[in-house]
Amino acid sequence: MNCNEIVELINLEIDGVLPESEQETLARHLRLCHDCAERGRQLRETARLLSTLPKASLPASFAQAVMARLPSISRKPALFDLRGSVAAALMGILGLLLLFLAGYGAGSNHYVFPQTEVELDTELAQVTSPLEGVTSETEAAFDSLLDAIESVPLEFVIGMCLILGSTALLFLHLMNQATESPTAALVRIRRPRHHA
Amino acid sequence: MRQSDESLVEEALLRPEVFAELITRYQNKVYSLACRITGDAEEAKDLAQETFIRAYTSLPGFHRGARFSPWLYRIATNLSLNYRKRRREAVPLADKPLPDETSLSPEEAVERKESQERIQRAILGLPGLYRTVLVLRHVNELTYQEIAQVLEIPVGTVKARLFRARDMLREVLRSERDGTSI
Repeated sequence: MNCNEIVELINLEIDGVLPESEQETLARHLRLCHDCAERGRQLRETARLLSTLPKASLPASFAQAVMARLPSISRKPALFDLRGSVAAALMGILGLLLLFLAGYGAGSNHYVFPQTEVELDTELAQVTSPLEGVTSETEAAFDSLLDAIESVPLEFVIGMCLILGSTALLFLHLMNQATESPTAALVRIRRPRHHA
Repeated sequence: MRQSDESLVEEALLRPEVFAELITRYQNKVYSLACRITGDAEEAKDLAQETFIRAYTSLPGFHRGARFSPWLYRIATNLSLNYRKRRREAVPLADKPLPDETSLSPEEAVERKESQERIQRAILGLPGLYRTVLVLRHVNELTYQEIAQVLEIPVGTVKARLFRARDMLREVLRSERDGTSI
């Protein structure tokens, strides 16, 4: 083993990773080679000096100071976080419940099929009076529509709003989870450009 | 049981306040690294702060399965080296002493301070390529494998650079003593 290889073994020994099998080789060489022994002594002293460098420390308040300066890239609005999803799901369930109650509470399903009545009326109007049919048909359709709107229970309206709202919230949440923050794409940590 | 860094990262994406724990865990390591690479305690504090802000803003792009600490050290190393490039002139350590927590007798303290300043000056005299591996190994006490992860270079290259850096430092310290052995 030549002196360059021995210097590598000295360095491995300094770092505490010299294989046991090489220890005797190193020791034998150092006993015989004065130059390597001296270089080894200097390298170990250099490493010892390096180890005396104090560990610099920052006060405990540093973390909070940094937290206060953090930009809001991943600080998502409450609308988009997990709580937002849960709220959306609860809204949806409540909406469905209200729709269910509205269906039974109204006692009839006339609001469900208002168009059918309108179509039947307009067909009759066309058969009996084709010329006046246009006016009467429009009026009849309009009246039927008003009746249908008025007869829609409040629970139905609220229920539908809640379901639509929850669907929109869930959609926004899923979109937010799926896309990477645009800021992250802009921040690219460059590899160090060393100069020899 | 202590929560892993990587699971804290996952959590911090949903709850930003969790990031404070990661700062607490690494603030001194990052600060020490910046101190030794730049030789400027005040600037190192700003660089440590900048490191955590950069890390935080890059969290959404942090690869799942990767380790947090090498990634964080990489940010700190790059920022510190860039700072050194901007201000190539060495900052006199006498003007801005690095913090020292140890309590020694006055004579020992003076002797140690001189020795530390000597070694710090010698480190700052090394090219960034070598200074970085030396600091990561001796200040942050990382293994060859960990340094390789930080710098994204093969382990063999880490060893070559580290051994060369130590030898350069040995030469500098020896020449400071006018040819006498250290």
